[in-house]
Amino acid sequence: MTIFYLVKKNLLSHKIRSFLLVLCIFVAFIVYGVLKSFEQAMHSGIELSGTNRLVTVNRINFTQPLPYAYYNRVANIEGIKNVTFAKWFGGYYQEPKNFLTTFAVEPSSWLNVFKEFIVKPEEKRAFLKDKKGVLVGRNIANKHHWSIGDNVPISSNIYSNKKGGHTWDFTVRAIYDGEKEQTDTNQVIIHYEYFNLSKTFGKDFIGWLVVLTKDANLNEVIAKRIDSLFNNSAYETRTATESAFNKAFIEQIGNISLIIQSVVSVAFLTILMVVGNTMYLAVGERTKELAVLKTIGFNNRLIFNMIMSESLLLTVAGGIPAIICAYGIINALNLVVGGFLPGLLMPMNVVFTSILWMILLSVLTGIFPAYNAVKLNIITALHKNQ
Amino acid sequence: MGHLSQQTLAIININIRSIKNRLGLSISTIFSVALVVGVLLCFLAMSKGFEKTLEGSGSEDVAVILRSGSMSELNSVITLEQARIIESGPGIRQWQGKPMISKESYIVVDAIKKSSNTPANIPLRGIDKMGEIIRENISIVKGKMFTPGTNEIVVGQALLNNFKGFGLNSQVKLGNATWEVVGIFSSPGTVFESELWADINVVQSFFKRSGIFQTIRVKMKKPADVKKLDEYSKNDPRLKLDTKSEKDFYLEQANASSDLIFYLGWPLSILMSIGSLAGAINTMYNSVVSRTREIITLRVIGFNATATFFGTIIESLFLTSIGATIGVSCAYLLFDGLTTSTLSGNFTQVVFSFKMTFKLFIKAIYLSLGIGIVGGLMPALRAARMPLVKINSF
Amino acid sequence: MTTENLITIKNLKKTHIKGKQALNIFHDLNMHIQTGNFIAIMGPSGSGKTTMLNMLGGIDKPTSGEIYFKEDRIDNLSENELTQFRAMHVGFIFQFYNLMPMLTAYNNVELPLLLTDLSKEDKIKKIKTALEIVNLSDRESHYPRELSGGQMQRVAIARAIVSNPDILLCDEPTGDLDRETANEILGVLKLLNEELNKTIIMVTHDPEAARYSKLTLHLDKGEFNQKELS
Ligand SMILES: Nc1ncnc2c1ncn2[C@@H]1O[C@H](COP(=O)(O)OP(=O)(O)OP(=O)(O)O)[C@@H](O)[C@H]1O
Ligand SMILES: [Mg+2]
Repeated sequence: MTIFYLVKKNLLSHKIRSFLLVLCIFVAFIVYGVLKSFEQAMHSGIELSGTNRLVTVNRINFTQPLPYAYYNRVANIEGIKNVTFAKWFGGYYQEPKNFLTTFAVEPSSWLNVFKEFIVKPEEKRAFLKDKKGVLVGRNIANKHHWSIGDNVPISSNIYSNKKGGHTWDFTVRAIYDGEKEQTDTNQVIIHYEYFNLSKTFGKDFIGWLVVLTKDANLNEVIAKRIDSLFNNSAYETRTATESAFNKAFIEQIGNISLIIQSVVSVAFLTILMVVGNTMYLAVGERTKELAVLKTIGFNNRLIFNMIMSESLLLTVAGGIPAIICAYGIINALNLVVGGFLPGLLMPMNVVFTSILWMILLSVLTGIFPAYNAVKLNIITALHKNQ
Repeated sequence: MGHLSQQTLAIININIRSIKNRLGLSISTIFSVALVVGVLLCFLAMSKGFEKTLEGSGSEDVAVILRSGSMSELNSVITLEQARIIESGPGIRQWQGKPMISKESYIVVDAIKKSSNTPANIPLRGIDKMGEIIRENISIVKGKMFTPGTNEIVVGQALLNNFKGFGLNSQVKLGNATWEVVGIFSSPGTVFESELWADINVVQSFFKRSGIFQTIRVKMKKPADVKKLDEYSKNDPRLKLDTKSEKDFYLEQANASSDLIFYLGWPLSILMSIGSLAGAINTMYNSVVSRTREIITLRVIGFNATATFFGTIIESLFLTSIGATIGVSCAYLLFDGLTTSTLSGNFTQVVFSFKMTFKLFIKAIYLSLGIGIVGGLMPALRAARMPLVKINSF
Repeated sequence: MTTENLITIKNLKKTHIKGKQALNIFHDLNMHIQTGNFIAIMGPSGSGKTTMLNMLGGIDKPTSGEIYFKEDRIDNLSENELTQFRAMHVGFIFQFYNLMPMLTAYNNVELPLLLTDLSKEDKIKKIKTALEIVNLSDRESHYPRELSGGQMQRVAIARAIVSNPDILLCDEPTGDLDRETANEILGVLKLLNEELNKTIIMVTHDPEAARYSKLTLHLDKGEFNQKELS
C-alpha cells in the first residue's frame, strides 16, 4: 500500500460520486478537444500560408476578374520569384451537391508556387502535357475512387462550354499529396488554356494572381509595387499576404474563435463549480478520518498532497479519455466534412493545452479542500460525532 | 398521516429549508444548468435569427429565375434574349400596363466589416424602377432613391450599421468609378437590408456586363402561377433556367446555414447537459445522504416512501428551474436582438439579429426539466429505499 | 522493570477559552509517568481527562508549564515536530475506533507504516505480528463494516502498536463495548503492558476496566489522586 493507494481508495469509496465527476470532466474536455481542433482547422489556411506568398485580387472584390495580361506584367516586377494565377471554375461532379474546389490555372507555374503539392515526376509530366488532364488531391481521388487515366466529367455552376453544356471532360493525369498532414488535398486543378478556349464568356480573364516573393521582408514593398502598377486602370488590384487574405475570408463567416472560446469557457466553468464544490464537500465529510491520519503522524505535506492527488486523479481520469475520444470524433468528422474543412485533425498543441488545463483545473478544485484539510484542528475534528 | 400530497409537501418543505446546508453544491447546480440553457439558447437564437431574416426576405408570389444549376445569384447568367422570352410568360402581374419583371444584376464588392476590420463580400444589386416596386416593404429612411442613369447608390440600413465606408453622402470607389451614397433604405428583417442598390444600366456598363443579368424577379398574379411560369420556361429549349418562388429560394439558403448552427448547438448543449446532470445528481445524492436521519425518522413515524421519492425529485426540479430561469433571462438580456453577419449561400454577407422566441424558451425549459428529473431520479430512489432498521444506529 | 520517567509534567497549566469564558482545567500540575506503567485515569465528565491525553500525545499544548518525553521537552515543539513525535512514539486508541472505512483491517494497520521507510518484507512482518497480538490474523482482509465492535477496536489497537510506539494513549477504549468484549480488549492491553512493556495511559469510566491497570488515578478539580483499588 502507498499513499496513492489511499487516494484511489478514497475515490472508489464513493463510486457514483467519483464517476459523475469524471463524467463531468470528460464532457468538458471532449468539448474542448473537438472545438479547439475545429478552430485550428478553420485557421489552418492562415497557418499553412506561404510566408512569402502574396495574393493579388481585383480591388472591388476577389470575385471580380482581372485581365489575363496582368499575369505577364506582374512577372516582370522586381523581387518576384514566381507568379501564377487561378480562376474559380465553380466545379462539381455529377450533381451540384458534390462540389469540387476546382481552379483553372497555368499548371507549371502553379506547381512552382505551391510547393506543398507533392506530385510524382512522371505524373507531373503527363499532366503538364495533356491540356485535358486534371491534377486532383489525394482526398478527392479517394472519395470519388478516381485513379490515373480515368475519364472524369466535371461540371461548372458558372460557365458553359461551346457544346452548350456545363460539363467538361477531363482525364486524371496526376494525384497530389500534401506536404503536411493539414495540407488541403481536396483541390482539383485544370488547365486554364483548355478551359479558356472552350468557355462561352469571360474569356481571357483570370480570377487572381499568386505571387511568390524572393524574401518575406519584401512582401509589403512588392504588394505596393503591384497595386501601383494597376492604379487608375479599369481593373485596380489589392495585394495582401496569403495569410491576411485567408484570415479575412474566415472573418466573413463570423467570429468563430469567440463562439468557441465562450463555449469552452462555459464548459470549464461548469466543471470548476461542480467538481470544486463536490471536492470541498467530500473532504469536509472526511474530517474525522483526516484527523485520525494526522494523529497517527501524517504531516501536513502528505495530507495536502493526498487531497491534491485526488483532484488530479479525477481530472486526469476524465480528461485523458476525453482527449482520446475527441481525437476519434475529429477523425470521424474529417471523413464527413473534410471537403469543406481541410486540415481537420487534432493538433499536438491541443493535446498539450488540454493537459495544462487539466493541471490547472485540478489545482483550482483541489486547493481549497486541501488547504482546509491542512488547517483542520485535530481535537475539534475528533470531538465531532460520527 | 395525511394524504400523499400532504406528506410530499411536508418533505419538500424540509428539503428546501435544508438547501442552505449544501449551498455551494446547490448553487453550482443552478449555475451549471443556467450555463447550459444559455449556450443552447444562444445557438438556437442565432439559428432562428438567420432563418427568420432569410425567410422574411422572400415573397410567395415572386418568382426568382436563375440560370439552371447556378444555385446562387452570383453564379447565374441570363441574357437579354432569355429575359424577353420570360416577359411573355403566363401569370405575370401587370403594373400600369407593364409586366412586373425586374431584371437585376448582382455583383460582389468589398466592404470593411466593423467587427473584424477585414474586407467582406457585399452585394451590389443593379435594379430598375420595377425592382423597387416588386419589393413591397422597402422605404427610404434617409436621403433619397438613386436617380436612374447616374452613379448614385442607396445602402441598406443593416449594412450601414455593420460595415464601414457607406455612410450617407460618402463617395465609394469601385474600380475606376466613383459612386455616391444618396440614400439609406430599410426593409426590416430581410437580406435586402444587407445590400447596395444602384441603377441597373449604370451597373451593367461599369462592370462591362451589358446585356447580361444575374437574376430575374417576376411578380405573379398569385403564388400558384410561379409553377406555371416554371413549366413555361422548361418547355422552351432556349431558356435553361430554374424558376422558383422567392420564398423557396431564400428558404433553401436559410436551411443550409441555420441547420449547421442548429446541428452544432444541440449536440453541444446535450453534451454539456451531461456535465450539469452530473452536478445535479451529485447534489441530490448529497441532499439525500445528509438527511438520512430525518428521512428515516419520518419514514418510521409513518411517512410514505413515495412521498420521500417525490420530495427529492421536486427539490431537484426546484434547483434546475431556478437555473433555467436564470439562464433564460440572461440569454434574453444578452443575446436577443444582437446583430451579426455571416456569409450566406449567395456568397455575400447577410446581417441578422439573434431572435429569442417563446418556442425556444420552451425548448430550454424542457432541457432543464430533463436535467432535473434525471438528476433527481437515482437519489430519490435511494431516499425511498432507505433501510428503516438504521434508526437504531443513530 | 525499569523505573525511569517516560513523561514528566512540570507546573502545567491548561485553560480552555470559550468566547469570553476562561475554563481552568489544570492550575499547577506536577507528575511523572514511569516507563512500563499501566495507568487508568478516572474522573467526572468534563474534568479534563481527554485534554490531558491530547497534551501527552502532542495534539494539544498546555497554556503554560512543561511536558518532557524522556529527556526532551515536547510542549514547545512546532506542529511538524509534533507530527513526527506522534509518528515515532505515540499510539492512539479511541472510543469509536476511527478506522478508515474504505480500507481492510490489514491496510488500516499498515497506515502508520506508510510514514516509515521500512522494506516491504519488514512491513508485512510487523503488520502480521500486530494482528497476531490482537488475535485477528484471520480477519485481515475484512473491511471495518464487516467487523464487530470488539474486532474493530482490536484492529485499532494493532494500528496503534504496529510502529512500536513507547506509549499507548487510550480514551475510553471500551466505552462502546459490552462487558465481555470489553474484558477481551482490556486483556489485550494488559498483555501489551506486561509482555511487551508498553506504557499505557487509559481513560475510563468503568471501575472494572480500571482493575486491569497497575495504577488508577482519579482526576478531580485539576488534581490526580491515587485511588485505592477495592
Ligand atoms: N476546545 C475546547 N474549547 C473550550 N473548551 C473545551 C475544549 N475542549 C474541552 N473543553 C472543555 O474542557 C473541559 C474538559 O474537557 P475534556 O474533554 O478533557 O473532558 P473529559 O474529562 O474527557 O470528559 P468526558 O469524560 O466527558 O470525556 C470540559 O469542560 C470541556 O467542555
Ligand atoms: Mg473525554
